[in-house]
Amino acid sequence: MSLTSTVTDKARIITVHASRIDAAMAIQFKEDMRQETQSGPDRVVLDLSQVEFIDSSGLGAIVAAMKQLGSGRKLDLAGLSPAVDKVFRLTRMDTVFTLFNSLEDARKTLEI
Amino acid sequence: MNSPPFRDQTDAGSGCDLTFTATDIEARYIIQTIEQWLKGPVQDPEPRTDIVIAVSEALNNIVEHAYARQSPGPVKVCLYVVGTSAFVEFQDNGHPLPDGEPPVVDGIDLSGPIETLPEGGFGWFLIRKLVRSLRYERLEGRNRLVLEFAIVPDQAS
Repeated sequence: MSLTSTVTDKARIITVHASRIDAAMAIQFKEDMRQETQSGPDRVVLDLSQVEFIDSSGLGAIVAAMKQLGSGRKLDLAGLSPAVDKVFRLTRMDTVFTLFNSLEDARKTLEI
Repeated sequence: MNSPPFRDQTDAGSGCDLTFTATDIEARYIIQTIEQWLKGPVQDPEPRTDIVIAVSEALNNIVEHAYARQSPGPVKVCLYVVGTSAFVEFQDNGHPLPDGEPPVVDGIDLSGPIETLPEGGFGWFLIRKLVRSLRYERLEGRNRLVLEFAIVPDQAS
């Protein structure tokens, strides 16, 4: 799958260039996230604005991506579409991650 | 809660009657086909989203569990709308559900530290959250699951 990443002083911003994170790509996503986040700032912001749909496998992969960051590092999510937002709210994962309406919101709020 | 009506197979299609092989990639194609089809009878995007989320989980279960430890077999999907409900019916020839019925998942435990957060077990929780009713039966070596969705909101009780 396609991820691009930029690094600022305070955060790594990773953009997902795919319309879905589903069972067919969850393992690849987790592995790609591992590679993108091996080094760099402690804060990682995942830009999901191009993702229209996520299933439980994709949700599990995002949780795994946060866990593999290791202690002291943080994964925030930005730009959740209505369907993605719904999966996070139903599972209460919205209480685990900090969610931003857009990457712009995340940049302003976190000053990154 | 009303049980969804079981229809004869020959009566199942109302514009969509799909058969595919249980792989991740084919399941994705079927989900997208269902999503398109729903735009006809279900105008409101929110119930459409709910149906697509639950259908995806049901199909993932069939791909990952019903056909586990064997080569992927066929899955038949039928959709129909009756009154204020949309029904999605799945049939496969895979393993039965472990307890003979869909698991009841009351909630997801997020209470521990990050290292212990669950990475799975969300599927049946999401399905049960999103359906109006569900019904499962094992018939002659086949699984049959019917999910009912509200496409017009339930009256407040």
